[in-house]
Amino acid sequence: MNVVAKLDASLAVTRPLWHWLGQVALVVVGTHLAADRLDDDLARLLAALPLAWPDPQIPFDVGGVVALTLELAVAVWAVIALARTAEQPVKTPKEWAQRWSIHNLIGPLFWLPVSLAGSWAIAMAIEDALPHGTVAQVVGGLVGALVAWRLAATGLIALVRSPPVPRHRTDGLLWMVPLLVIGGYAAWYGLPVWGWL
Amino acid sequence: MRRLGFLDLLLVGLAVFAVWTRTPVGGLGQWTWAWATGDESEQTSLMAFFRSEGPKKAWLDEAIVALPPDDAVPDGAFPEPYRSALRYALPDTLPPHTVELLGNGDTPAADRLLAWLDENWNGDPEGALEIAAIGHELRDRAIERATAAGEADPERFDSHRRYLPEQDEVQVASLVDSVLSLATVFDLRWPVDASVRISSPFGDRIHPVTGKKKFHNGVDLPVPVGTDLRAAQSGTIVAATEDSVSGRYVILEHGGGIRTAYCHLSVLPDKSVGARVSKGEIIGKSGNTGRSTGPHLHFVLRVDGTAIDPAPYRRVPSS
Repeated sequence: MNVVAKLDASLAVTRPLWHWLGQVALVVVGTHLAADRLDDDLARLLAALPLAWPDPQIPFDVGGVVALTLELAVAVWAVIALARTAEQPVKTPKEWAQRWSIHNLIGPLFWLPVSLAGSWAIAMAIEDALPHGTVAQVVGGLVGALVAWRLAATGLIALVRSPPVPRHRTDGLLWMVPLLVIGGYAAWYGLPVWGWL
Repeated sequence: MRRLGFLDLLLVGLAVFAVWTRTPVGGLGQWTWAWATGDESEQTSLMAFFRSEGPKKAWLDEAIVALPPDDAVPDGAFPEPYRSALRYALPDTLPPHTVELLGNGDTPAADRLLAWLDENWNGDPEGALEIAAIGHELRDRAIERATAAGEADPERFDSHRRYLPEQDEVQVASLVDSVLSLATVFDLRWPVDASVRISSPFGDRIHPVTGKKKFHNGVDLPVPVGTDLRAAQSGTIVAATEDSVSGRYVILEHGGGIRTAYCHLSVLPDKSVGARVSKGEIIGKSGNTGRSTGPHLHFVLRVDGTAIDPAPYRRVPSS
């Protein structure tokens, strides 16, 4: 075995120490993409409420702050969710059903679109960093696919295969709305497929 | 076990770098790092990571922009009011692509840019300015991405700006946003008859209800209850609601960071939030609702959230 292969193997052994950081980072990137759209819609929603705003501009400022707060909170959730994945993965759907909880159900539904949106954001950033042309498009697409495979998919698999044993079925109830909203926005605005469908 | 240690580490580094440079979470990390290392350089606001905030308009510092004399800008293919707006709103620092495009010359940059826009006029002021700022390739790429993501009207700058590289977006926005927003303001239609006097101007005043000194963020136009109110510019309804202060009010978004608000209405528009309205379309009827001492329209003009005095733009004839 040559030196590079040995080093690669050593790095692979230490993967549990740092791999989660990339998985969470990817979710943070995707979450930001969603939150950047959410702030405008939140502002419109707030402005439509029958509240006495001292200035009609305030809902738009509040919308931005709420979206930012949600984004930061969801980033914390992503770290906790990965940390909570059980050491014993489930082997059958029946075993998964025994660990059923809102957290275990919503987590993957959030993770999938958000991490794919993050992958696309990174693919675009790579393409932008290279001289315009087919090569940039191919390299960007390739990096995006690798990120989706090695970070998005592995994170999703961890959540699905190793759900924590819940104390209550309602575990994760508080997080349900923000996660579904951010996940929905990521699916709607962060996936380069809707134009072709 | 599949190894791929190098690959994974590289991808993790890439994702962490993206977070550090492009998200508020990274902004928090930068704050923490600066605090830990005693770095006193200016920190980026977390809200600055939200793209809709945009760079500050080049002309906004002046708060009130003098209106261009009718004959100040020679005619050309590139039309008014964009033509006049270009003179006033041209940022001090032009995008590198524009500098390269215009080359060096004795005439002012605005004149050279106008000449280029006249020569390359394609019927779309926004697109022409964007191409002048970053060229065809980047614009086309962003439009492709916006199309793939299913954005409505992907050719519009507001629809595809998020798909431009951040630095390029800033450069385009510094030119396109400034010119388009000032052109929008130059081309405003007064919401009521232009002959109606302003009973309370923009700026500091003693509030007629509370008796306290307060900044008046718009102008008051005394018109009888039930007077038709017209959209100052085409745009989208972003709020049509009521509260105890502004009464019934409507906010329109016109693009380029320009919003107008119409307060103390008696009747709100038939259309709901999200609907498009045309310039001059009736968007409600004036009233005396909310914190108001008599029938009037409180008319507010905002640029990137900053209220500016709409009065100087009243004289501009509508196109």
